[in-house]
Amino acid sequence: MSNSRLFKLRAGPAFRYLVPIFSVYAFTVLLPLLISMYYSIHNEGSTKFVGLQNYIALAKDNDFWFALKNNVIITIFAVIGQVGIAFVIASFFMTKLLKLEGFHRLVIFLPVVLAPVVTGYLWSLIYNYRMGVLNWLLNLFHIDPVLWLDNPNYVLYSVSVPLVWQYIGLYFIIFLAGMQNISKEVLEASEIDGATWFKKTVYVILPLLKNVMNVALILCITGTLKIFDHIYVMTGGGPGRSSMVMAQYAYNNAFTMSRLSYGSTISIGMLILCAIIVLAMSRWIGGEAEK
Amino acid sequence: MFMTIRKMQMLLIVLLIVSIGLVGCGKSSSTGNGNGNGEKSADKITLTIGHFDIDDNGAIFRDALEKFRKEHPEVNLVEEAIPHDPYRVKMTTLGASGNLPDLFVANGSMLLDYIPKGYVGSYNEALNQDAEWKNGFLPNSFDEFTTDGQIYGVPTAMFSVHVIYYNKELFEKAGIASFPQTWEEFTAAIGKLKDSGLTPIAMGNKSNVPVGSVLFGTLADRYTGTDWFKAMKEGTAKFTDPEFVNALKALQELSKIGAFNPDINSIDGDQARTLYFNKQAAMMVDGAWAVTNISRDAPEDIESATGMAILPSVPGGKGDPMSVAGGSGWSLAFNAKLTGAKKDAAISLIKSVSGQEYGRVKIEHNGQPPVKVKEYDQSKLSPLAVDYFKLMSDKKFSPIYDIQLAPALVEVIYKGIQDLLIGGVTPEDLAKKIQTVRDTQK
Repeated sequence: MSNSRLFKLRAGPAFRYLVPIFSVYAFTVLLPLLISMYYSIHNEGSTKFVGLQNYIALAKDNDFWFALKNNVIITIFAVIGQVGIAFVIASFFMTKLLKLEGFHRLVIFLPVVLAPVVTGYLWSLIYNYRMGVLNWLLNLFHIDPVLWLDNPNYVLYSVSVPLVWQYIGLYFIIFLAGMQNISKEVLEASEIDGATWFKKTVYVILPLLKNVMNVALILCITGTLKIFDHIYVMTGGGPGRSSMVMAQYAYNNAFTMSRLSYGSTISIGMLILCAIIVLAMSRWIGGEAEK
Repeated sequence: MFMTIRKMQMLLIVLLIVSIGLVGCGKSSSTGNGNGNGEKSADKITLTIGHFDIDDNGAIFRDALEKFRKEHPEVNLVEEAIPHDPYRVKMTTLGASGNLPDLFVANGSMLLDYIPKGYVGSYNEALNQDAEWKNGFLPNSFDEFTTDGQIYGVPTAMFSVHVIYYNKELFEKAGIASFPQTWEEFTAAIGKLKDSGLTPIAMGNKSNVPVGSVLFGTLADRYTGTDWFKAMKEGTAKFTDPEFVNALKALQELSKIGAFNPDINSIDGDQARTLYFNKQAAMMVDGAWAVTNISRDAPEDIESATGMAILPSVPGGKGDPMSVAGGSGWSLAFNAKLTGAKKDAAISLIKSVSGQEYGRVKIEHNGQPPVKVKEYDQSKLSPLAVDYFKLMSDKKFSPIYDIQLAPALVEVIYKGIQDLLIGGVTPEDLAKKIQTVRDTQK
């Protein structure tokens, strides 16, 4: 009788165990969140309560919606690039043709551990107009140098590439772990039935990886919506506002324009929008899985 | 059995909470002890000073601080020095939280942010007590740091933020005899320089500030005149006025005819200077501080071929063509929390980096001090510095945008200018956008 109690989950003790981690969480996440909410409903300098005035200004702010649009474009790019390419690479790992598996895995995962700031600097050197590697390569083929980070028409894509490059490894590892969990019998059965690599990947591995894919998509979307470091280092949202994202816009308002409460409003707005997008996304994916 | 488990759990939780609490106490008590010991052992006054004079140009300032340390052993002077661009960000952040250093370098725009919050102390009393110190400064040098008759900053330099440095040899090769005197000649000269395969004007605008500060401020004044700027600050003139829109149009025109290096928005000032030093660019627009850079870093032939000029007059402009954006710009301010011996030490430190002696050292190192320097050794000056003082002798100073306007407005104008250079916005739309931000300020 007394033995069985040990294995029963009890609400009381469980909550008490959670006290330390919850106090850390409250101090580092909840408290700052509440403070920014406090700032966002006060005027600059926090002397007067202004209610939702800042939020109304935010809803009318053309620049904020432009930044959101950029965020969405980068996210689409990142979902296709990071999750898509990672899946293709991971499925290559399931074939028997690959040699030096450990080495490849290491090389693909290495960029993930780099600090985003390092990646940003690295790529701004690669993109440099006069001495960058990319323009040097173009020069070898007698193509005119390209203004990778100066041209508003494609600066958004230029800043997305390092992002994709850096995080392919993360999703690759997730997919690889998922694929190795698929039982060998299923794969062998499909091979005996004469499925090619392509058919095996699309009709066997992909449906069995549905749950892993959901996790990867949610991670990728939330990660990319709050992207800041790479953009800050490479362009700072420029030229003009052509590569502005929401986090950069909040930073600019709070720290270069000295408008702390509006900056807080932007970050709360960002939080709400991200929550909506992620909820909608998970509903959509979850709903499909039920069918 | 069950009770003992519960007790053990409670004990564990209490221990954890206590240990977290103790870690927190440990840190704060150790720093507390550190301060206490320091004060006891030497009875020292600790002063913190925030500044960005960490490069070669700032050596004079650092030497002066070192000298102050020797003369005042009772003061423990702690420097919080970082480069200029991050310094501005750091100060805005500190300004938001109110944890400013005891003494700090601040520009007019920062002071506009701090004064209403009561973070900075007034110099009126100290200046009135020391007439010699007060009268040593150049006329109007306190203008940017004065609000309601109270002076909140002592200028560290007084200079023009706009000088066009041009390579005379490259100009001659392109068939231009002398620096153009009218806008038509200026744009024609840019065309000729471009045809001879050069970048006409090299600038680095990655941080948004350079084009707005060193070029546009003066260009805008050519069109609008200084009176418009004053009226705009009072709220009677608007950014949507045709004068200001014309200035924006002129800047976009320059960009359209290819006056600038194509990568202007992704390189910084140092990289732009390199283009000029390598004879890839015929002109560069920069502040007076570049005199020091060219004298020190440029190859000999570049230094001797460099001439100095300012923007020519513009058609239909209301501004004085003999004026350039300039002024005192940066100042030393002190924290309003300082009192008693700490404040006295702070004032004497500020005097040692703004008095006659400091001014003489500065001018002899090709700097531009904010004080009237009575005697100095002219032979120590580089030829460029002599040229600079000659160029400025008959010029007037017009407002520097990023120093006289509040940070939010500066950001909108300068970021908008970057957008304008790449053709991302029309001058009319930009003017409207700037005015909406102006309207949100009182």
